[in-house]
Amino acid sequence: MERAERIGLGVATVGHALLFGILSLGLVTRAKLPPPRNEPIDVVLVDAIGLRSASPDAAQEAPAPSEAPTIAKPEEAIAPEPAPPEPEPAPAPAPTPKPAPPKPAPPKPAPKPEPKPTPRPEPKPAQKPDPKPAPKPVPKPAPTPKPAPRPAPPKPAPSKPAPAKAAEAKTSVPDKAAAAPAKTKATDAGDARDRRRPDRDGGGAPSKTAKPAGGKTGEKPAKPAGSRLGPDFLKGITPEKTATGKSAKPAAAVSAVAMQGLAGAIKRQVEPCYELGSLAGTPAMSIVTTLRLRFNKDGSTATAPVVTEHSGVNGGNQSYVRQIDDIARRAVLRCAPLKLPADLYEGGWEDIELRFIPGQMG
Amino acid sequence: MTNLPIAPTASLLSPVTLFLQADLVVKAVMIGLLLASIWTWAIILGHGLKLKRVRRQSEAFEREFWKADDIDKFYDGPGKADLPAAKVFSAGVTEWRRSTSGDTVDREGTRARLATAMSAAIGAEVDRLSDRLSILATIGSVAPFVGLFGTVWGIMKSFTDIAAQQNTSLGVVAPGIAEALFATALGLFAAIPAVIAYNRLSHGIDRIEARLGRFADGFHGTLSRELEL
Repeated sequence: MERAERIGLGVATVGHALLFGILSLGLVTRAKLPPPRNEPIDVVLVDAIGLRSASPDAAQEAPAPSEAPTIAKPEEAIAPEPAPPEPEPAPAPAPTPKPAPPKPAPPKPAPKPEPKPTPRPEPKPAQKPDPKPAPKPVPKPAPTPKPAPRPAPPKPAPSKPAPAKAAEAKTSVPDKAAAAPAKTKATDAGDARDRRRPDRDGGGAPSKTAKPAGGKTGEKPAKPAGSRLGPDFLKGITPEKTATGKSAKPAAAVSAVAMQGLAGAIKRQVEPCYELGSLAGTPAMSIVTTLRLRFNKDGSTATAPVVTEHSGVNGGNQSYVRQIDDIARRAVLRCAPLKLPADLYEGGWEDIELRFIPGQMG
Repeated sequence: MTNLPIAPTASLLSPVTLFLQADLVVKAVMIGLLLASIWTWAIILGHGLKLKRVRRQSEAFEREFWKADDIDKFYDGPGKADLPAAKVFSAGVTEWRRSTSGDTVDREGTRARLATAMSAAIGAEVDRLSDRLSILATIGSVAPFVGLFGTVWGIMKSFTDIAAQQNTSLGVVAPGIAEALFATALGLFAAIPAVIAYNRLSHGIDRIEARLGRFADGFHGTLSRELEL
């Protein structure tokens, strides 16, 4: 070995030793991250919530919402929209019919409604199968401003379809969904016109009462919209009554509000046994497992919980489905004798479906 | 509420602790790579110094050679030096003396023999200079793979640990993976300087070889002219 190589070897060895020494020491003396501080969280115990609804009325109306939401929400969205434009066109058509009244007034109403209904029925089935609640808003504003003060009943009748059209022309571009109901309203209005005229003669007040009559074809009043908050309110566990054979009985026996209270009670009692363990924070958290539980009267499980449904399963968490199911099942079995109100047993927690949302458990 | 040490303490990540915690195979890989790194730097430093010295002394030697009046006297003096240029020079002079010692001189044959003798001397010198470069090339190309092997092995081991403990929390996995990745880091740490040094040193040796070739050609021309007299 030559002198230069010996020097090289020596320098390299010393250099490596120095480098690793510095790395070791340097990393040790590096400023440590401050340990994450966990702020204390106030815990409020909510066991005092009543399991049973105090109001009997809510219990009777509740069974309806299961079918209503899809239908009713669009109405609410649409109803306000067509209403404001109508007043605007209304004044415009008003002067036009005035000169006409002597002769053409009677013929107008007859031909107009006829051609309109024929094209309109086409869009109806395509877009909205049930035009029920829509009719109301249209007739309301139109008749109230004019027919009441003016003695001539036939004039306003033709004017109504015109504003409806004008409104459609304006609104149809931005929201077709809104235009569709408006059309159906116009047709209904045309059909119902004959019926309404006598009412109008009576005055503005009766015209309002006529509206529900015109809406009879739709059958549904706007009522269901109010009671619909329920299902989304308590998301952790939402009870879904088992469809088979039970739907009739529980509706009468246990109200939806009571069911939610029941679900909350079950959730409270099952939560301590629901342990995600190492799955916490993994994609498995988005899997929602629906378990069908059957209980005995004493609160113990009558049969092993059966998994009826999953949601939120995707490619990333497919492999966790079984574990999540097991965790949910185990939670129910471990906390098994649940303390639930005995009077809600029949049709209530005797046979119940619960959705376990990992993100809202524990 | 107890404050659990969520963040690993810094000393956990120091090279020494990483090495001490590692699996036996990973340890062996790390030691091997560390030795390779030391060796690489020894060669880089030793060879770098040597090449620099050779280049400087060769230039001085050539300047002196072209200034010298008497080749024989020069040969006995600085021509004996331990330098590539001096070796080529002495090979030429030795061949010249041997070829011209007889009564009859075969001029063409002497010229050819002088050329081969000197080019052989150049080849021998270049070989001697570049004998360690192959080590650099080997380390440069193999060290990353060795490091990768250590990493793969270490990660395999940490996965078996996960399987054994039935616990997937990051705290269980992280140290094993960190120490496994340390093997790759060491492999790259050894390989990167080796590759750079290999390119640089082989370029330096190429230049020395070209310089020796030009010197040999010049000397050959001088001797050829001598033959014609």
